[in-house]
Amino acid sequence: MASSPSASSPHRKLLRSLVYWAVQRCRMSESPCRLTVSVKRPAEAASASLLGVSVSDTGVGNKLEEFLELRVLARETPVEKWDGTLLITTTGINDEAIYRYRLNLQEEISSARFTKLATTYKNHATFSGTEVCLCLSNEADADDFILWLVGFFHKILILRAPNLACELFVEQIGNAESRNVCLPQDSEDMHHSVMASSSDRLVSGLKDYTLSHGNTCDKCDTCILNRDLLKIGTGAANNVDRRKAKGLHVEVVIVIARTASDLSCWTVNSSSTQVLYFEDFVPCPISQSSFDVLVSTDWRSYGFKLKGGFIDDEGNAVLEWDDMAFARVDIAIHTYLECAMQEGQGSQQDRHLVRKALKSALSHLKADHAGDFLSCHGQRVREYVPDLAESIAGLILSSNDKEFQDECITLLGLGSDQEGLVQSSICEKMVHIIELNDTKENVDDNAPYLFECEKLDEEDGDEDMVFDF
Amino acid sequence: MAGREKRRGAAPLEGDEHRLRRRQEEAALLLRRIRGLVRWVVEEVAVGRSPSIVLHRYRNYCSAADAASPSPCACSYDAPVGTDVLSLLHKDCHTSRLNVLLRVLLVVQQLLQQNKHCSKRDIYYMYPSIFVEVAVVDRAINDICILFKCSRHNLNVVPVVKGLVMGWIRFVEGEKKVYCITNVNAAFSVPVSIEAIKDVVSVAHYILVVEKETVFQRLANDKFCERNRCIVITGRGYPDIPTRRFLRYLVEQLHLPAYCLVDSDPYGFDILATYKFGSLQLAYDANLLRVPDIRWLGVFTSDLEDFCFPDCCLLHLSPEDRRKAEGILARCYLHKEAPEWRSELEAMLQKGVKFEIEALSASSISFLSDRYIPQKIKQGRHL
Repeated sequence: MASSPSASSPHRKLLRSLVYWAVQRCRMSESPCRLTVSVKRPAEAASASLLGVSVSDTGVGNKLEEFLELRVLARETPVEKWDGTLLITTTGINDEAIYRYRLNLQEEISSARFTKLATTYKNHATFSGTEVCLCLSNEADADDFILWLVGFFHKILILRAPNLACELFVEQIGNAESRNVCLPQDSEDMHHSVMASSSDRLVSGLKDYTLSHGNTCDKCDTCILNRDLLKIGTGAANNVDRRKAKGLHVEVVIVIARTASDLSCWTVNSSSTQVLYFEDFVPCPISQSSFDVLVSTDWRSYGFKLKGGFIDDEGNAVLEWDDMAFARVDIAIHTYLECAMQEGQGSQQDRHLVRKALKSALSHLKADHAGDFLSCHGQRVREYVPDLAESIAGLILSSNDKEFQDECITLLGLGSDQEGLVQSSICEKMVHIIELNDTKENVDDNAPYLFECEKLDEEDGDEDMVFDF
Repeated sequence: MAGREKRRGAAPLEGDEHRLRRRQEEAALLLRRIRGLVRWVVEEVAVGRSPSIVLHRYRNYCSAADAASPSPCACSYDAPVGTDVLSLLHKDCHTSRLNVLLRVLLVVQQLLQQNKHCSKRDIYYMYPSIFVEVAVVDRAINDICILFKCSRHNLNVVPVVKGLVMGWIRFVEGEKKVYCITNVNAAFSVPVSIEAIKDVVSVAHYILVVEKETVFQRLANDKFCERNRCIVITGRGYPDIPTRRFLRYLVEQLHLPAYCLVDSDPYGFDILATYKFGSLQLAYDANLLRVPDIRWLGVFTSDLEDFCFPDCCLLHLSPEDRRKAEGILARCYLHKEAPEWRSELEAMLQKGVKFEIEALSASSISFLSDRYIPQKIKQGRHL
């Protein structure tokens, strides 16, 4: 898991780590699993009352060594925010019992760190899973923490990870008016299927994310109806074919919502994009190498004018657009190892694959919607087309040579009674040429047949038009 | 022979009917070429290819020459030195150039078909949003000339004339009689187009080209032409196309020597060079506009010593003058065609001084017309 450059609170880092390992355990089980995060919050904020947090999963049993990686985080966290204690309940599929431990990560002496608690036998029942419980301080920023947790969970749901059901419960206790927040995993996507590829699942999830305006609202009736109007670009890259590779996959999905006329509920276009970055099926702060790829990509070739980019306090990459032609651009990058709990590949490898997948997604977007994603150069050239078409049509139609006029009209595939369509026909054809050749590769392939006046001379057999006086 | 003057007629001159037919043929040929281009553009667009038009790039000089070792260059009055390709696919500045070219061509086609003429400023105001500025139209006219291997006057785009002429000459410009000879001290406008000139008659012995209108008026005031059988022309600074074409026409038709009088400063020299070598902007047509045999009559810094003028007439070269002079010195044509001119300019730069033609009036108001010009021509003191 990438180290976060963010200023996010220790609570958030801790939860992200616990969820990360829970998800990996679920992935390892290779059978349908459940991930549940539950927060029990006292009704009133007080130093004495604590947030009870539990992260449980039905994945493979836990190896306690995993939690030792949290020692660094425990040392960074003031004791008053978290005392470093985790209560771990775990059992493997082949275990006969459910084991319980108390782990104190603040403890310097390793032998004193683990305390084994009472064991419960499973009576030949076959199941596996882990629950980690901890208590966090219930301070004034607890509201922010819970809001963040809801957002974090929403992001997990975007991935639609196969074989993983996710639930979040937030319960207010000690109050007659107890309030529960529950996040179910549902979608308006009718095409969503358990058999879909992870890339298709990400597309589906990101579409929902876009249509809920970046999870700022539950559902927007106007936008749900426009689901099919969204423009999608997907790209994937992996190194599974390489001999020494450990099977790193990168998937990139871009979802574009057009201007407000397409989606009438958005009156103001968004000029920036918070890039959703996932590692191994968990939302993570973006890696520096991936961020570098984002800001160094030649966006202009795809019609995007990138003004700049930065990594925000939460470790999210934010791209700022100049003169944005779209209402909303959402981008998700998912890098994951084929098998959970493997060693990473190194940033150089990541950078290469992320660049490849991003370029592929942008090319896909452009291939499907050539007119919308013309390069900045193509856009500038396209602006000349109406004038060019008007000039050429004018040269044809104002000529006093009827035979020439008829010839040109025929060349354009028009009938003799369709003089009025000459300009629009030239216009359409020119736009098509520009769209078709809007990549450097295409331009290079399309070796031009050049017009030179000498060719006319050969045809005419005329003298040169330079005169002596 | 005393009492008899040799009359020089511009021969061989065409009759009106022949001239008209020839112009109609030129227009028809150009229209045919325009249709050829348009047909080709339509063919390309119809098959899904970008029309890509080759435009030759002409250069009559470069600034790569070095005093010590003038390197050979590709500059030529006849042959292109490179090409630009105007299309939809490469540089958008070239697409913009193609756009303007086709729009100006639309106007030119209409002018030729209707046998009408207009100025580049007229064209600019027809589509100001496309052209943005007159200079853009100007460039498109050049592009069209290069593309169709013709000159500006073939396009029926007429310039605004600023040149003046006086002296021993008479001619008819279209329907207008320009009889300078009846009052040799009066200024007449240079004709717009030499194609309209006929019945040229002159008894002049030489043509004097002066840089400035003030000098032209000085000569008129001094009745210079009354006392000297000559034709005096001024382009009023940098000469326009009609002035250069008219001068070239007179030199060729009348077989007269031409002398040029400019200020002794880098700008005067540049104007002189424009007459002799042509401008870079119209490099494609320089061979038809330049007067290769024009002589540099003055003024030279050495004239001050020769004619005993006080040093107070001299001005120091400014840094900008120096930069300009150094730029001109690097031009290849000076090395190749006029090394003595180059030496004189180099001497000016070394001395670090300049002076204007008007400084010759320091001792006597009519010194220029009474002594300076006649003496220099008589003694052959020119370069």
